[in-house]
Parts: sequence; structure tokens; C-alpha cells
Amino acid sequence: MPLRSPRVRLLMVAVLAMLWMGATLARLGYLQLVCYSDYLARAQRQQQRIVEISPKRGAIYDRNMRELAMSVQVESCFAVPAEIANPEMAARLLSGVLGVPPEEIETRLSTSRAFVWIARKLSVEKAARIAALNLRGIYFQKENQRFYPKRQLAAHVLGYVDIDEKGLAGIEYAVDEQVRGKAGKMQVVADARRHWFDRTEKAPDAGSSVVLTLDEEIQYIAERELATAVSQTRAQAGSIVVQDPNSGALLAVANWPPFNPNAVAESSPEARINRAIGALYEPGSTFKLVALAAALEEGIARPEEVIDCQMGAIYIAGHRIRDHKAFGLLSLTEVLAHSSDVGAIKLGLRLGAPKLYEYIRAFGFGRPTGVDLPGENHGLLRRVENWSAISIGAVSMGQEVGVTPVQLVTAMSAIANGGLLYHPHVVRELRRGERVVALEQPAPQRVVRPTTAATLRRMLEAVVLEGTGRLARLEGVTAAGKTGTAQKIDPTSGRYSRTQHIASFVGFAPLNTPAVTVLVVLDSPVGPHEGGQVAAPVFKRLAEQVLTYLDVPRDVRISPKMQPTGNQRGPEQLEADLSDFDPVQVTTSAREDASTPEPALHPTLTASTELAAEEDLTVPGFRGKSVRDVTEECLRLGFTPVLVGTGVAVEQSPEAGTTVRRGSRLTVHFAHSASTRVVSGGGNTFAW
Amino acid sequence: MREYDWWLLLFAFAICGLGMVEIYSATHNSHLAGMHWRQLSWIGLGLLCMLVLSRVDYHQILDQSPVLYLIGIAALVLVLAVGRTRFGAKRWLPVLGAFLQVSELVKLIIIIVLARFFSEVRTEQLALAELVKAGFLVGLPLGLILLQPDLGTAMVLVPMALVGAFLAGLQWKHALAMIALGAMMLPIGWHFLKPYQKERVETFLRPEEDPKGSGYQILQSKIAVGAGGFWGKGLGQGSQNQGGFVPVRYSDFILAALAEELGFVGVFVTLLLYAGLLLRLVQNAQRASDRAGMYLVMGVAAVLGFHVLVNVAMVIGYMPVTGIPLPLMSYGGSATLFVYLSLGLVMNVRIRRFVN
Repeated sequence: MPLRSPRVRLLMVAVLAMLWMGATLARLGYLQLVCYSDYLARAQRQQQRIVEISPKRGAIYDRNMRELAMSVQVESCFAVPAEIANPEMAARLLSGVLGVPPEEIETRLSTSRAFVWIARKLSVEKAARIAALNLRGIYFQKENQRFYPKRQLAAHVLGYVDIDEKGLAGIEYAVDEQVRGKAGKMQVVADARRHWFDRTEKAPDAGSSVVLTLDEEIQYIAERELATAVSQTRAQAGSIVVQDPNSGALLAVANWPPFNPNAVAESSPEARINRAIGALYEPGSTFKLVALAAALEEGIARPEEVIDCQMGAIYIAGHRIRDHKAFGLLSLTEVLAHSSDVGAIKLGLRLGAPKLYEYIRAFGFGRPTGVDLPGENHGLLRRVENWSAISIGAVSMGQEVGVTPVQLVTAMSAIANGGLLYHPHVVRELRRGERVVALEQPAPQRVVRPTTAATLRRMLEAVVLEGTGRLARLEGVTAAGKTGTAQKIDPTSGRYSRTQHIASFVGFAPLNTPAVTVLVVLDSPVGPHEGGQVAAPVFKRLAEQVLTYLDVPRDVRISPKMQPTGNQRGPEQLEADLSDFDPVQVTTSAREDASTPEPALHPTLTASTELAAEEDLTVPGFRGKSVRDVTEECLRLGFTPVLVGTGVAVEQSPEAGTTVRRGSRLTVHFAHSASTRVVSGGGNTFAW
Repeated sequence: MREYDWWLLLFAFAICGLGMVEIYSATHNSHLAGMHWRQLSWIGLGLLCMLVLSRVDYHQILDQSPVLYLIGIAALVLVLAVGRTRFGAKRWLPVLGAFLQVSELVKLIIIIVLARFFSEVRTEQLALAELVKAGFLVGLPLGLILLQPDLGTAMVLVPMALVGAFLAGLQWKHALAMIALGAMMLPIGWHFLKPYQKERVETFLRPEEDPKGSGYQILQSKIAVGAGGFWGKGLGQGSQNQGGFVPVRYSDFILAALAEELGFVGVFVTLLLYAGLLLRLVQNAQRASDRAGMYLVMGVAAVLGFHVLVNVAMVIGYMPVTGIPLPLMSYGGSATLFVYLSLGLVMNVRIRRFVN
């Protein structure tokens, strides 16, 4: 029996083993050759993780290179859950610092992921306290935090960013792509226990910085005067726009209510609206200058020509329209000065609807101005084909149309500068390292001839000298303007409200070489509500300060009895409203801020004073450092920086070496040294 | 010395060399760094034992098999009584400052005992009584090892007995009956499995169901093997291996680490070396001067072959995780000693292949 001989059986065993080997090799070939790429991808998926490193966002400067928005480095806390032995205890300790329920943190710590955020963009205090816990598996990552050192100043223009520093509104949104920079990448290779054992980084590219046309000083004046006016008139809302009539550049855009971009979540959506470009209102009498300009340009009216204002009433298509006052015979100049509705309607009728419509469009109404900010409202202007029989009368006196403050101020600037309609804008240039990209504005459009504009200016001066805008008359400087009082449309009834008005004044100064055009709009003032009563004085106060700041020479002799310049600091309440924000989002005592006098132009930055207020700190020396460096260092150390001026630090109080309490104010004065200092850091080089 | 099987030794050294390289690669940047040197010292000690064992005539060793059997059983009982518990099982006895895995020694003893037992069967066909006797001979230590518990090592004893019985003239009807009995025993055996063992089997059957839990080891091993591709990622470059995704990558799953870093080519060469080693053993069995010698060598071949086949099958996802190391490659003192001692037996038989 050969089958039973051991020799044959040996062979059988060997063959069996070799068969098994063959099967094994086939399987290996299948795994390693056929499914190779599949398994390789699976290996990479479980081993590699790509974490984005946020780039440094470019700063936003005013036209004098004063920082309005910048990014500072702060600590964010993350956990590597696998390294945490006792998630429950860690969660309890972290909860004590962060004020988040421990269960919530524990859930995060118990995930199987290699990386979880615990808290992002922590205050210096909290970061220090977490670090002091000395927990295993808890790490810090430096992230950039957007910081608005002037807080609510120009907030509506600047906009704000989300936690990932993505621009959500204003300039931050409009030029987000350029300002954001390119994210870096960190490729992390994790091992089986999710410890990181290798990382490769690609450094992020810093974003461009933006230089605005806004002037911090003028912006501050505008916001302060608006706040004062709102508190005095108890208006619901308001806007002030200051424009350079010779370029269309916006020098200040102030809106009420204000908000603090450092703490967006605490503000209402209404407060965040940039009313200057986003809110429509019926302009009322300020709009009369369009019909007037058209009539003069077309040569169908002359300033000294007498118009019969029909004792306060006119019939259009069977509808009786009443003037706000019964006027008899008025010269055209007087029609404007006293803002006669009948007079304006007569001019409109003389022009005819198509011509009037053409001029309204030419002055930039009913279409986007192209301002470089998001959220612009195009205005409301019905096509002339759709006008009703009485539309021509309504439109002539500023009804049936909706305009934005920027549209109106730009139209007024065209009259101020001799007839050119510029594009309103706030971005002057973008800077990337040494490269400066100035943003070209489209060529202005001629709306009226220079002579027509000159005639209009003289007529508008009469409004200020003897008409409805007398309260806008400036000390020592000629000015021109037009008042406006419009009844608000009641949103419930759709009819004109008897009690709510929009009071406005738009004007410019000086008369013949205008430096600024200013529009003041107050929404629903309580009590006196006429533009001439409530908006004109705001124009006066604001224009006087701005012209002084701009060193515009006086062109009128000052009357001997000089009025007091008024309370420049505004009432106590205003101060509280302006400075109750906290850049690092830690609650602090706003009352204390409000009661402490501070340099008028620089709202205080407040670092957290939550912990260890009695802790003593030694003041470092800041001389020679940049605004950014000083701010970062102050916030890191726990001081409250008060920054005055721009350039490099030249003076500080208290002096370096002094011991003060944590949270104390540290006033640092900056100035430009004789030689321009170039500060370089990373890919970011700014010349100051 | 010239009578030694140098080819066999060459295969063994080549496999050990690959093993050392891979142990180094898998552990050099962990707290286990330097493990390959310890493995080398075990190999050295193993070679010494091999030399000594090959010098003593295997017939004398076979004569002592009842004593050896008793020693083996005593040692198994002792380890259950006073043994050192590591990784959840009592398998180690402290000997001369090191921990020896008693079951490795018992494997060697069973090879000898079975060789003696089957060589004394003089009939052409293995009688049922003899088969049952052999079953009891293996069953006792197997039961004791299962108590440790060490299912893997216990399983190794089965092919020893089967191969021996097969060569001794196992009757086909008995073989069929055993297969049938085994199949019937499966559900009962399942009942006696520890929960973790059941889980391993379930995991093997459905590895994708719980990739983070018990399916983890097999899945990670397969990923490592698959990600190696044809040429591999290079020594020290395997991210599955270096990142510790491959479980016990220096021991039971060393082939997965090797497959990742040296690719299909590396595994193919390794398997060729093992095939060479096994065929060389079969050849030595054929040339043995007597039946006892043949049974000794085939006992060794059965154990080593079983180890290799089961381990490789586990690494590539053919079989559940059993904890059977790859002989000569996986790190482990007792296992390495056992392999070289058993090779000593083979040399012993080979030296005395010419009847004088």
C-alpha cells in the first residue's frame, strides 16, 4: 500500500503545506498589489490630519495710518483626548476656569478624535489659569484675534469678523479676500494613540493691509456730535456723513445706534446696520436742489426771478398740495431759502417729468453709487413711465423717492465742487509689504456746468444766512446747505406719520473752496423736529471742529461776541455709551471707565480685570515700540492701554519700572520719529 | 560538524536576520528600543542549546521520554500554581533571572514523547486503541495549557499529534470520524471559550463591524500589509508600523510590519525562506535512519509549519487573532529557544542518519 508508506505520507504533508503557502501568497498579492492604493489611502486617512493655520489678517488704517483694526496673537486651548487620563476631572477643572458646564467639556474630551478645541481666543487671564492647571493633553495654539483698538469708532465702516477671522461686514467683508491672506497648513501625523509625532508646517501668508480715506479725528468728531444730537433730540437713529467734495472720499461715516466690533454678539442686528449706505429715507426738502439745479442748468429759471407761491397751495391733477407755510411772491433764491414747496413744484412742472427724472438719475439717485462697502441700498426712484399725475409735484419736493445718506451727500458734493459727481469711497489703498496698490476711482461725471454750480452755491449760502438753515451758520467760515424735514411713512398704515419726522441738513464749507460736505440725518427726533432746528446746529458744531482740525483758513471776520464752543465732551451719558466695551470679551466694570476722565480721542482699551485685581505688576518700558507691539504687550501683561497718537512710543505714564496693580491704565504717547521707522515682522512690513 | 544541515541553518539565520531588522525598525524610536539586541542574545543562547542537544544521541533522549513527560506535566501544574501572570495569563516561570514560557518547553517534550510513542507502533495501520492513547498523551498537557489560558499554544499540540498519527498509518475512516467528531465538538467548544476569545472569532468573521474595537488589530494589520504595495515603504518608513497602528508589531504581527516596509517582495522572500526551511525538514525526515528519527523531525516540522501558516493567515486576515508568533522572526526568548532546541533535535537525527 504505497499510500500508507510514510514516504508518501510525508510528501502529502509537504504538498499540503505548500498549497497553503500558495493560497497565502495569492492573498498577499491581492492585498498588496490589487488593493494597494485603497489600503494606502486608508492608512493616510487615519494617520494624517491637516490643521489650517490662520494667517495674520491685514490691519485697517485711517488715512493718517492710524490703526482702526488689527490682529493680535492670543491663545486658544485645545485637547488631545487620548492623552487625558481622567476626562471627568479635567473637565471639572476646565469648567471652573471657562464657566462652561463640565459635562459639555467632558463630552468633548471623550471623543475619539485626535484634536478638539476646548476654548478659542482666550483672555490672557483664562489662558494663564488653564496653563496653571498643568493638565496632561491640554495644549495652546496661538491664533490671531481681530481687535479694534478704537472700539465702536467707525465700526459700521470697518465691519467685523467671525471667530475664524472671516470678514462678515463692512470693509472686513468687502476686501476680505485681500486682507485675509493665505492660510498655512500644518500636516500632523498621528500615531495609534493619537499622539502627534510629526508635523510639517507651511507658513501662512499675511494679508494686505487697508488704508481708508476715513480720518480718525473727523470720524470721532462725527460720532461724538451724532451721539450728542441723538441724546439731545431723543432721536431713534441717525447718520452723519462727511465727504471730501473734491474726490468723493468719505472722511467720516457715523451711525447711531453704534456697536462694538470687539463684541459683536452683544449688539443688536439693527445697531450693526450701516445706515449711511443701507437705510433709505425720504429726503424731503434737501431734494429740492435737484429740481433747482436742473432748472438753472436748462436755463429755464434765474436766481432773481420771482415766483408766485400762491399763498401756500397748488393743484396738480385735481389734488391740492399745501405748502408748509403760505408764501406769496418769492425770488427763486428765497424759494430755496424758505424751502417753499409750491415754488419747488412749479420748477418741476416747468422742467417736465422726463427732464426732472434725467437730472435725478444724473445726480446719482435711484442707482447704486458704487461705494466700496457691502450692503448698499440702491435707493427708490420709480421709472418716469410709472409716475402718477401728481408724482412730479411730490418728487420735486423730495417725496416719493428714497435716498441713502451717501447718495445725498455725494449729490451735494457735486454742487460744492463745481458740478462733478464723484464716486463715494472709503478705501484709499491696499498695502502688501512694500507694495502699495492705490485704488483708482472711476472718472467723475459732470452733472451741471461750473457756472450753474456757482449760482447754486450762492443760493444755498442764502439758506444758511437768512433761510431755514440759519442755525448752520459757522463762526468765521462761509457755508452753504439745505435743510430737510420729511414725514416718516408709518409702516403700519403706509401713510405719512404726523408725529415722526426725519430731520436733515446737508451742506458744505467753505463756500467757494469747499473742504467738506456734511450730511446730518436724525430719525424721529422728539420735540423740535425740523431739519433747520435739530440738524443744522449739528452741522455747525461738527463743521467748525472739522475745519479747525483741517486748518482751513477763515474767510469771514469773526463777530466780536463769540459763542462758547459748546461742550465738546458731551454729557455724561454719552461717555458711558461710547466706552462700555471690552476688547477681550471679559466682563469688566464699565461704570468705572465711564467715570474716569480719559483722552477724548482714544477710547480706552480694557484688559480683563476679572482675576487677581490686587496683583501687582511692574510696568515695562515701551519707548520705541509700535502701537501694535504696545497693545499686544499690554493685553498680555494685563494692563489697560490708553494709546495716544501714532508712530512709535515716545512717552509713557506710569514710567517703566513702576509697580502698579493689574488692570491699571497705562497711557502711552506715540509720535513719528524724524526718520521713518520700518518695522518688519514675518511677511509683514509696514512703514510708519 | 560537517554533518550539520548548513542549508537549514542558513534559512534559519536568514529568517532571524530579517526578524532582527524588523524588530529594530518597529521599536527603535519607542521605549522598547534595543529589543533586537536582546533577541540576538536569545538566538546565541539558542544556538548553544542546539549544539548541546545535537551531541546527545536522540535515542538516549527518547529513552528518557516518560521522565520528560512527567517533568513537563509537573511544570505545567507548577506554572498554574505559582506561575507569573503576564498579559492576563499564567504562562511564565522564573528560571535563572528570566521568565520562561513553560508551554514552549512542553512542546519540545511532546515532540519527543510522540516520536517515541509512534515509533513503537509496529503495525502498518494505526489501531484505534493506539490513536486513543496518543490522544490522551496529548490531551493532558493540552488541557493544562488551556487552563493558563493559552489557546494558541494548546492548538499547536494538535497538528503534532495529527501529523504523527498520519505518518504512523492513520486510517482514513478514523480520520473521517475525527473530523466529524471535531465538527460536533465545535459548538460545545465554543461554549467553553473565554469571552475575549469568542470576540476574536466574531471579529474575524465580521471585522468591519467594529473597526475601533476588537476588529482593530486585524483591520490595522491588513491596512499595513496593503499599504506596503509591491516594494514597500522602506525600512523605518512604514507609518502603520512606526505610528504603532500595527498591534504588537515586534512580535505576533511582525510580518505585517515587514509587509508594510518591505512590500510584497519582502513577504515573498520571507515565505520562500520558510518554505525552504520546511522542505529541508521534510527531507531530513525522509533521510532519517529510523522511524523515531523521522517522527522527531516531522514533529518539529509540524510545529514550525503550523506556527508559520497560522501566523501568516492571521496577519493577512485569513484567521482570527490567536497569539501564535512567527517562529524565528517574532521577538520572544522562550519561543526562540524552543525553535533552536528543536533544530538541535533535527541536527541530532541528521548526524546519525547513517546506521552504523
